Amino acid sequence: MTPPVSAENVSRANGAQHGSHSAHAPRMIPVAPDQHVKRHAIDIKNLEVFYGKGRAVHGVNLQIAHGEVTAFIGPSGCGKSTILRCLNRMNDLIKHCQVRGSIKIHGADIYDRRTDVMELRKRTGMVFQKPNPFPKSIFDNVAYPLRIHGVRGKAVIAEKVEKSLRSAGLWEEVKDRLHVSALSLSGGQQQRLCIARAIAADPEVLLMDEPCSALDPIATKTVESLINELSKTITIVVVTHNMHQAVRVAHQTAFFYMGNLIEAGPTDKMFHNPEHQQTLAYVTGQFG
Amino acid sequence: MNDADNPSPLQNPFIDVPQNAARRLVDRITKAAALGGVLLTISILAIIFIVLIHGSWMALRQIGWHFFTTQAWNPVPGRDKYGVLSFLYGTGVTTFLALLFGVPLSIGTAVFITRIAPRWLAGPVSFLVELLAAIPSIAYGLWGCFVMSPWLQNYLEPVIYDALRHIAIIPVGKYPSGRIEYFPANLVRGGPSGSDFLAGGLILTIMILPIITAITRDVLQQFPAEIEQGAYGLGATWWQTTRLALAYCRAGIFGAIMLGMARAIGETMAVIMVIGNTDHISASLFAGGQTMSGVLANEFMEADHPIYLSAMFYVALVLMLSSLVTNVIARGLLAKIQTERKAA
Ligand SMILES: Nc1ncnc2c1ncn2[C@@H]1O[C@H](COP(=O)(O)OP(=O)(O)O)[C@@H](O)[C@H]1O
Ligand SMILES: [Mg+2]
Repeated sequence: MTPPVSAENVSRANGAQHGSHSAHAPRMIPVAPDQHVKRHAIDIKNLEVFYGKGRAVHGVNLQIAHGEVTAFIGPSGCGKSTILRCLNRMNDLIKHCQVRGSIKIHGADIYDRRTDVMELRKRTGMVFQKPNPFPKSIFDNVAYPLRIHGVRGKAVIAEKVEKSLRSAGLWEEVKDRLHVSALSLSGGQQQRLCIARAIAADPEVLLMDEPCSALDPIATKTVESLINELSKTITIVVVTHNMHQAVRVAHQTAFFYMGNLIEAGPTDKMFHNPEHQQTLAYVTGQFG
Repeated sequence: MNDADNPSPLQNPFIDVPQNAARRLVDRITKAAALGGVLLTISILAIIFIVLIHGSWMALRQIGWHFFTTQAWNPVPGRDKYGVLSFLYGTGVTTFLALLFGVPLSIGTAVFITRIAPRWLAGPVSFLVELLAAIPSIAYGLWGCFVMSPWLQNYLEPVIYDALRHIAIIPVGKYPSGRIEYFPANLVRGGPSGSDFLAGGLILTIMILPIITAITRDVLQQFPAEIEQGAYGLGATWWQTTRLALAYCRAGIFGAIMLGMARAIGETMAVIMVIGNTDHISASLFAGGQTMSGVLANEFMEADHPIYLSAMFYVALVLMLSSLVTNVIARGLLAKIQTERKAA
C-alpha cells in the first residue's frame, strides 16, 4: 500500500535536489559533510507554540526523512496547521504568536535570527486548504514565484512554467489557454495550479494544509496521485483529516492530540498496531 | 381530520381579513410615498438639466464648438467674445496637479492605514483624514489665501524657481517675443507669485485626499487573506504582496481616483481664492489662471445681457456633464467590484 522508505528513496531525493539547485544563489543547506550520517530533511526539537498566553503546541519532537510524505492527523484544533506554519515561518505573520524550540531543515536552523524568511519560503512551498490562485492569468500565477525571486528572461520563465504545470498534471488541460484568468478554472484545477505555483521555484519541501478538503472525490484522487508523483523529488508534509488519504499517500504518519505529538511512525504501523491506545481509537474513528 | 372541519371556499379565512385592512393601508401609503420621493429626486435632476440646456440654448446656437476652441473672453456688450479654452486649461491643469500629488499621497496613506499601522494608530489616522472632508471649502480657500499662498510665494516657489529657471532641456515652442520656450524652465517663468496654478493644484490636492484615501482603504481591506497568505507563502516580500493587493484592487482604486477627479473639477470656492483669476494659458506653474467653475462663480452676477448669461449657462452645462460622466464611471467601477465580491 505505502511504499517502504528505503535508502534508495533517500539518496534519489538527495540527488535530485542537488541537481535542481546548482544554478542558484548560495545554498541555505550545506551539502552533508559526512554521507554516512543520516540527516533529516526536517528535524523538529521541543517545539512549543503560543498564541498570546495560550499554548497551542507542547514540546513536539519529530524527524522527517528526505523524499518522504508525512501525514499530520488529529482532531481539529490539535495544532496540525500551527506546526505546519512553523516549518516555513508563516506564523511570523500572526501577531502574538511565539515559537520556541528548534526546527532544522536540511540541518539549517530556520529560527536562527539571521534567517532570510523569503529564501526559506521559496524553498518550502505551501499549498493551502482553499485554492488561492491570484487574480492573474494561469501563466502569471505559476510565473509569480519566479518573478518575485528575480528570475528574468521570457524563455527561462516559460520553460519553468511548463515544467511546473506538467508536474502538477495540469499542462494538457491548460496549455491552450495559459493567458486566461486562473479564476476560470474549476476548484480541482485551481488547487493543482496552486501546487504548480508552489513547486515552480524548485522547493525542497512542500507543505500542504488539508489540500483536498475543498475538492470533490475525483479532484482529490488526482491531487493524491500528484502527491505520490512529487514525493519522488520533494519532501512533503500533508495535513489531512481524512484517514484514507493518509494511508494512500503517506510513508509516515504523525498523530497529534491537543497540541501534543502522541505518536509518529510508518503509516502501516500507525494504522494497524500503533503504540498508543489513543492513536488506535482515533484511526479507527472512535473519536475526532 | 374530517371534512366537517374544513371551511368551505366561501368562508376562506384568509380572504379580506377586515382587522388587517389598516396595516395593509400603511404598507401602501409608505410605498407610494417612497416612490414619490424617488420620482421627485429624478425629476429635479431632469429639471436642472432642462433648465441648463434652455438657458444655454442661445450660446449653443451662436457659439457652438467655438466655445471650447477659442480663448478670448470679452463680455462687453457688442464685442461679446466667449471662448472658455483658458478656463478649461485652468481646470485641466489644477485637476492634473491635484491628481499628480494627491493620488500617490492618498494611496500611500491608505496602504499605511491598512497594511502598516498597528490598530491603535490606524483608527485615528483614518479618522483625521476623513475629517479633512468635513472642512467647508470656503475655509480651505481662506487658509489657502492667507496662509498657503504667502508661504508658497516666499518659501517654496523661490526654491523651485532657482532650481529650474536656468534648466533648458527641451525646446517646446516660442514666446510671442520670439524667444524660444524651453522645458522645464518654462514651468517657472514669471517667478514666484503664490496665486497661481500651483496654488490651485495644491489646495485641490488636500481636498481630494480624503475621498481617494477612504475608498482606497476600503477596497484594500477587501483584499482576501488567503491570497495574501499565498503570496507570503511563496516568499514574497511585504512590498511585493502590497503590489499584488494594489493590482487586485485596481478597479476600485481607479474608481476612487475618478471620484477625486470629479471633486477637483467641480471644486470652486477654494480654488478661486488662490488661483489669481486671470484668463491665461501658460505652461508656467507660477502663472495665474481661472477654472470653469471659477469663472461662473466670479461672473454670474455681472451677466447682464442675454448672450453673456447664456454663455454662463453653457459653462454650467459643461461642468454638470463632465462631473456626471466622471461620477458615473467611478460609481460604475465601484459597483462592479461590489457585485464581483458578492459573486465570489
Ligand atoms: N491565529 C491564531 N490565533 C490564536 N489562536 C490560534 C490561531 N490559530 C490557531 N489557534 C489555536 O491554536 C490551536 C491549534 O490550531 P490549529 O493549528 O489551527 O489546529 P488544526 O490545524 O489541527 O485544526 C487551536 O486551539 C486554535 O484555536
Ligand atoms: Mg488546520
